[in-house]
Amino acid sequence: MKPTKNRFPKIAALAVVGLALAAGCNRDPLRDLSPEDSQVFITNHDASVNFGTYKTFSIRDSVAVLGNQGQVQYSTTSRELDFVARVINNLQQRGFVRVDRSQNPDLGVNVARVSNTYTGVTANPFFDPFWGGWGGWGWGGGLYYPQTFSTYQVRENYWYSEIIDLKNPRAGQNGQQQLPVVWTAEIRGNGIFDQTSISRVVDAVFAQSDYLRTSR
Amino acid sequence: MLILSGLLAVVLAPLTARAQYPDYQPRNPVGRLVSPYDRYTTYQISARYTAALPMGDFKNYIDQASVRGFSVTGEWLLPNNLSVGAMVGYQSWTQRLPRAVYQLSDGSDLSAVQTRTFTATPIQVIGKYHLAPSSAAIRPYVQVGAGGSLTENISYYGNLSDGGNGLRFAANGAVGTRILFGKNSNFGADLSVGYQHISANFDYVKTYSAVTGSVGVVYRWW
Repeated sequence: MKPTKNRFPKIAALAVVGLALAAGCNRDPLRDLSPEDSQVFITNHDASVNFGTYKTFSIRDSVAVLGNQGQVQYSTTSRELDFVARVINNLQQRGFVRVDRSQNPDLGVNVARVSNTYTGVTANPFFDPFWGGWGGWGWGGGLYYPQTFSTYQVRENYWYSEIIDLKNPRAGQNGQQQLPVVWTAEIRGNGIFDQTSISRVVDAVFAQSDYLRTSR
Repeated sequence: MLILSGLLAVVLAPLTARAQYPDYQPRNPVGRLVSPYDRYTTYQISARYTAALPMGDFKNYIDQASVRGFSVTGEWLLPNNLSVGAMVGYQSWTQRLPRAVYQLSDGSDLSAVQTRTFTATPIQVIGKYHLAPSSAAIRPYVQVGAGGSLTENISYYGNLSDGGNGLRFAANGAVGTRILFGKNSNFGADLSVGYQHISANFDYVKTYSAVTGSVGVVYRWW
């Protein structure tokens, strides 16, 4: 018997099966990642700033909840208050003194829980700084500061904190004075909202920001 | 002289007979026909498990072996020593790095456990030169192939991802052998060692290269 050409589809079918197998074998490389190992701490600062020139700071006893709906709400659950307390604790350990906002603090500290529902494309670079403005969340007196949280690949909630220089406003747009953001921190990953993790995750962003201290 | 010419005749007779009568079917001493595998273009499929070791620049990105790879090949076995076909492969690499602080291009410091991954799904046209006849029980070969690879190179920082994917040029070379489970069996084993190349050109991996070892099963038919 001489083989005939109608045998070809067997090979084609096999190729299809092979492709399907290849697709099916693509396992999740992060499936064995512990919640702690999934946590990412991202900090940035204005390298031209000497933090030794600041002494006092002011911070709200609440956490802003930022969503991509545009509105800002403030929340005071116990874990959020724990977070704020830990930020205060770390700043005080670095030599800063907390004062009331009416006492002309050198620095303003914001703490936010970002709750966005963007679906990111995993192939895109995630360090894509996006500078804009948090609408309606300024420090008053015609001052504003640029938006600093990045809206990349957001499929989760994360902590965000920033420090604003209140004593050295810079010339900004439309003749307004702009308050420079001198430090930012993002805490992402699994388990970051667990009450037992809060001290550790706050300490982590300060640990990698050794420059953040007053002169003694 | 008589002996010499007699010997020459014995050696040349089958060759000339074949040349003159293409349908002539020489018989071996026990009277069997020549195998159809030596007479016609026949077919073969094989499935292989492949382990790989990183080479070259790729080794700077991932320095551990990949134990997750396979390929499926379909071939036309020509009656001479050549075969041509197509191969679909898959090779997946993962390596986890302990927590470290990385400086990003915007000046940020990022502390994370990094999980490096590289996944290739090459689809290639292959050609083989076999060192034994198509019907041989043990049939070593040299293989080359080229084509495209659906390739993904992602570094995860914690559960954030950074990287790219796309279709890239791929090539391979290998030496191996097919070992039939019996002289006339349709089934056999395949052993090979080879080399994979992909012109990856991603942020993390520019050139992918790896040495592979594979074992597989073969089915041939006509």
